[in-house]
Amino acid sequence: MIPYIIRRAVATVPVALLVTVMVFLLLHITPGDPVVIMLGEEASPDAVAALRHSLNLDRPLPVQYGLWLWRAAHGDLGASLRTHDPVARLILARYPTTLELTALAMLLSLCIALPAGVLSAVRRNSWLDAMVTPLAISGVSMPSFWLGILLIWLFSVTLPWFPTVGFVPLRSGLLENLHTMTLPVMTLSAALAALVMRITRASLLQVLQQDYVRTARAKGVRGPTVVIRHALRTALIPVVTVLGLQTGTLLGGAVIVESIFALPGAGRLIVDAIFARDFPVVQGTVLALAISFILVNLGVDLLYARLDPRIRYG
Amino acid sequence: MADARGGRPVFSRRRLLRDVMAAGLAFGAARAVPVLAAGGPTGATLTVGLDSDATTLDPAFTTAEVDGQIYRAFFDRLIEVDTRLRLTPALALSWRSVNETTWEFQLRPGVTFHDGTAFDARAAKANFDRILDPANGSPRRGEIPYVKEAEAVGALTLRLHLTGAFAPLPYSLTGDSGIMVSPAAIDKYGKDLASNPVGTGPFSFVRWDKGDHIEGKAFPGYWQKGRPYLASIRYQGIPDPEVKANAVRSGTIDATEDLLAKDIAVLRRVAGIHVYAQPGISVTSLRLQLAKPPFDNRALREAVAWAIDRAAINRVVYYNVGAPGRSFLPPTALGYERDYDPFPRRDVAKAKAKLSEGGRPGGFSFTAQILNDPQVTQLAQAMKQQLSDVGIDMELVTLDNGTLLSRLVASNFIATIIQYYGTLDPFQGFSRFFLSTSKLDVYGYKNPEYDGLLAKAAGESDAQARAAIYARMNRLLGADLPWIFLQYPDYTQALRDRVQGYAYTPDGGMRFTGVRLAS
Repeated sequence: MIPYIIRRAVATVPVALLVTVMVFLLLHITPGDPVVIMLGEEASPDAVAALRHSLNLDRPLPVQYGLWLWRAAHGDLGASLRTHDPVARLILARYPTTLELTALAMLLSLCIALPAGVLSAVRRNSWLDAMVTPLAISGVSMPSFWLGILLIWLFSVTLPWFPTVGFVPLRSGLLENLHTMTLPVMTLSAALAALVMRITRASLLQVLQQDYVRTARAKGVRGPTVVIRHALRTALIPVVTVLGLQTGTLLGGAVIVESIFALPGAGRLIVDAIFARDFPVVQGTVLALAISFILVNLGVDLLYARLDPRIRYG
Repeated sequence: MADARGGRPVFSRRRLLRDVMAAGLAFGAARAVPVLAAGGPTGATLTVGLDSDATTLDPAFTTAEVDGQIYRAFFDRLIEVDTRLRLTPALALSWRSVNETTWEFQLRPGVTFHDGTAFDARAAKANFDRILDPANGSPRRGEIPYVKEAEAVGALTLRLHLTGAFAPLPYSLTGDSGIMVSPAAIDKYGKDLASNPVGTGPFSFVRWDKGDHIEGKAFPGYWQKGRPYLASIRYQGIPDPEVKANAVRSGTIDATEDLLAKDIAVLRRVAGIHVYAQPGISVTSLRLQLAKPPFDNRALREAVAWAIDRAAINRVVYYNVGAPGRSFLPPTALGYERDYDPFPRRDVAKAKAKLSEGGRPGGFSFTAQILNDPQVTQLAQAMKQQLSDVGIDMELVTLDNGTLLSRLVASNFIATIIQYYGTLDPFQGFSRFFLSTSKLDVYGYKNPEYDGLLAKAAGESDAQARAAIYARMNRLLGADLPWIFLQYPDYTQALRDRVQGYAYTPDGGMRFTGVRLAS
């Protein structure tokens, strides 16, 4: 397994490079001058030129990219054009919030989706299945910005149970932190929970019809044991695959959820940076998110072997 | 969970549901008090919701409107304005023009910065030197364009030497360019001053969780004795305007500003919230490119102006939060004339007549760039509909703020809808946008009479006489129409009733020095 991990880690490098080239090009193709955005419409042309020079933005694009890459290879992701904060420091400050949000959203999704999916599969065509399926479709269909506003209206304005905004970091207290994270996590997890529930149901239904399950039943193993010990484990492989791929969707969703609930996460950092054309911040943060996505999917690949002993890595 | 009868654990769906709900209610009830709010008659924390987090806490380098609100906690300016926008002493007790090119300021004695440094003429000079040094590239330099040098002529006497007459200077110093920062902190922190503000304001800086909030605590050595009444203040960035309105409604925040017109209508009906929606110093306009067709033709500009129903736009798009735009000067500005309204109501017949006069009786088409903002889109759609009635086709191109701004300053547009956040004395706007020799003129407006009046206004130190000149300039713009004025947006603020002693100021600045929080 170790050589496999090393091969995958090495393969990460060109992917990460490609991501940085694409982000760099997209940012520079997009109209909008960061200096003009910073100085506003009333800045004099001299001031604009001076600032552009001081930020190296008057140099050719390949030189700008080369400079960025050289520094990044040495662990320096540059500084924000707007706030002058080191990008690495900004990412380290903001990333834990995004990680916490996505991890909790994934956890909540699983807590809801796995039991619901299993029950829905085991009690196929029952009233329970009939109730869960439309709920899942609603969950997938609801845009997170709308759900977020709805939850705020319900649980913050109408029932003053949770604050509308105001993040409390984990270090300041677990309960306070969870209190501020409840609505964002609910918002972000809705779509994933619905999707995982549907996939769990479909996958389990398929596995339950396989020979080894029938054999287990014939041997007199009880229903719940067959489902949980024998069928579910195999049925989880597509679920885990989807979870890995959905990490990207969750990180993308975090951008919206962080903006709605004013959470100081990496998603909001990217949004603000894109609007300000703050190139180094966008580059660095997207790179960090891309590496996270790659690592999560590497973890998912390794998890397959745990779930199904027939899978081997060479 | 055990059954009393037999001691065996008994699980039932109903019981589980009941327990989960009870736990949820208990969790919610236990945390029912909003995390950010703290009560108490005095010594409480006030939470203010703003559009975003600050970009920098160094006033010499900010370019974001939102930063200015936060600076009011940590810094003072040389000159302030009262609730009727009259100049009032702040760090400067008095000021006078010694001659056309020299202004003298008597500074307030006994003022110290949060780090213990005394505020005096040398400290004030250090601040101006920093702004005026071209090597520093401070955006503030453009706000005091005629100031060339600061001189400390006594312990508490500061002189500003100008390259030419600039009578509106005291008004400029009510803005960010009049903010005083501790010179010791400038030396100590250098570029890190952006995260370590040290001023003379009512609150001293405590912490900045970037991307989230900024905290300040009452400064015991504040020069207004006994103030501030609050123990601390917190500025929370809330990017979504709808969430911002909900946050003040739920009590998560105590005060906020810059609300959507539709939220104003809702908040006005909510008990426990006081809403301010009052005329500010802004104007939303359709800005035109006069150097290119079709708007190099004045008759066609007039056709557009006559075809637009400003009253309907103000009613439908802005829910009457604001007023129909009449001219460059909004109602609170120096030189505004209440009776001056060159296009008092929509007149389709006149619009068509102007089209004929301009040689385009069948109408014409043009492209307008607009911001990707729901309210601006609604405004543009309404205008498009109204213009189509007279045969004018306004094609809309929606852009993000950065692109819109970049195209604007590059003069790469035919028409654009954008809001101008004015200044207390309109001289700067008059000068920057419409002076024929201005480096910032991207509209191509040339009028020697206008240029002459502007030069006269620069040297006119009497505010009333200057207002009369501004009124004449305003009328020239209303006749020549480099911009077609659409709406005067109100400045909007919403505060919980527990915020007491607050006084709204029409410059939009939220001042909390004299505010208490009721329990």
